[in-house]
Amino acid sequence: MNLKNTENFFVLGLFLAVLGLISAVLLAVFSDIVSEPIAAAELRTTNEALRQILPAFDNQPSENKLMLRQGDMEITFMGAVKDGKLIAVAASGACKGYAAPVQGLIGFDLDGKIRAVLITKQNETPGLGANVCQRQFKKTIFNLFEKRPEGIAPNSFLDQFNGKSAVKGKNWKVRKDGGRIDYVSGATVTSRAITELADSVAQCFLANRAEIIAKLSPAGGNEK
Amino acid sequence: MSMLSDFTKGIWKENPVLVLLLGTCPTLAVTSSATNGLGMGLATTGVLFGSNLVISLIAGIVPKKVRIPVYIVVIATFVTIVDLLMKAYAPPALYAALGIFIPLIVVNCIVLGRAEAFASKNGPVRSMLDGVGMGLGFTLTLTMLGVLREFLSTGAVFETKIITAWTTDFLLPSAAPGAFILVGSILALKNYSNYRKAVKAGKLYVPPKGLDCRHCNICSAHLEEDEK
Repeated sequence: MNLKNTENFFVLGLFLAVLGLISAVLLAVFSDIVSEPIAAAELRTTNEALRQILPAFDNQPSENKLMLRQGDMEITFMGAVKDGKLIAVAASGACKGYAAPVQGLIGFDLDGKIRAVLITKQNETPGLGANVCQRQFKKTIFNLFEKRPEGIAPNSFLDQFNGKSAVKGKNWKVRKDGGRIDYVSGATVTSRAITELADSVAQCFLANRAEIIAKLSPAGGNEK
Repeated sequence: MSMLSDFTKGIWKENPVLVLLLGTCPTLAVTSSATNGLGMGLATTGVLFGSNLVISLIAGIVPKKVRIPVYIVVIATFVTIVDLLMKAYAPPALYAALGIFIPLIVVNCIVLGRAEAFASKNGPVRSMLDGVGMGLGFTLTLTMLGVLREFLSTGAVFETKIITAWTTDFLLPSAAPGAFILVGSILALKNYSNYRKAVKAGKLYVPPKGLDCRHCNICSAHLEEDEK
């Protein structure tokens, strides 16, 4: 039989089916092999982000977590523990941005003060909205070989939230909407989205603070 | 044609972006920075290498009527493998920036075009060389475009500021319209230099044989065979 010039419907179908099967088996085996490195890479990314917004911790915060809802936003609170005591809480949530959802990670002290806001996932306009979200140390040819500074890179918009704590019944708004948060011109939608995100998460933390601290504290620690 | 020219033709003479004008979508979309261009180019090179090799091996038994779906399955398999590898080992920032464009390599015309025009008619060694050459040509063009766009918009190359006094971003080159303008200018320059070369040699300028629309062998090769 000449396979190359065949027009038999069933042979053609069978050929494609066999090829699809081979490819599926190959991919299944391969994805099984790399599943471990992928999980490790994801964990590394999460921990990298958490280390930037939390004080030094010795547990795995992404496993010590609590899911809560605020409006239609799902917020995950993660507790950072050191020496058996809860020392700070990170919260991650997502909010509608200009193009796609903006995902943020916010670090809180136990009294509700924001430590830092970090945007973990965004697809805003490069050069405009994206600049509002990015924290990056400036690299130049003059400091290319110097050691990178420790800690979190500055971002004048995101740094406005540092040290703020939510007040019941008072939402944070950008100046354009009559609030007190400075926005970046050309990136109002993104500024608004991040402000809303920070506000919802902070309000949620304020409203459920007792529950969050009780649930995330390791057994036996943090009695006050 | 010698083995060496199979490899080198993709880099300049038949450069996939500047001569064949294939794969324009990733060319315009991901080259907003040099790193992204380089990452995308290398990912595509990996896929081209694998798909060209496998397709040249199985070309003898693939029924003609279903060859395109067969090629797509092979290409999609390699793209998924590259995607998983990047997820596991590439820098997270690069993977996040390339995002949707990695799976979209499946429909990148360069990959299917080389499968149809070259790998299905030549042996595995030449197909491999062709795949890597085309991939490198794509990588070099994308990186060059990324360097240009990043430098023109921020004064930086590979995220490293060359001109430190440049503090406000110039947005046009890093946005899609700027990419169109730059690619168009580069194409015009390349065609003009070809034209000048032909005039200097006292000849009429004709596009490389087999690469203009009348003689393009990518979509018409099998039609001709059918007509015979």
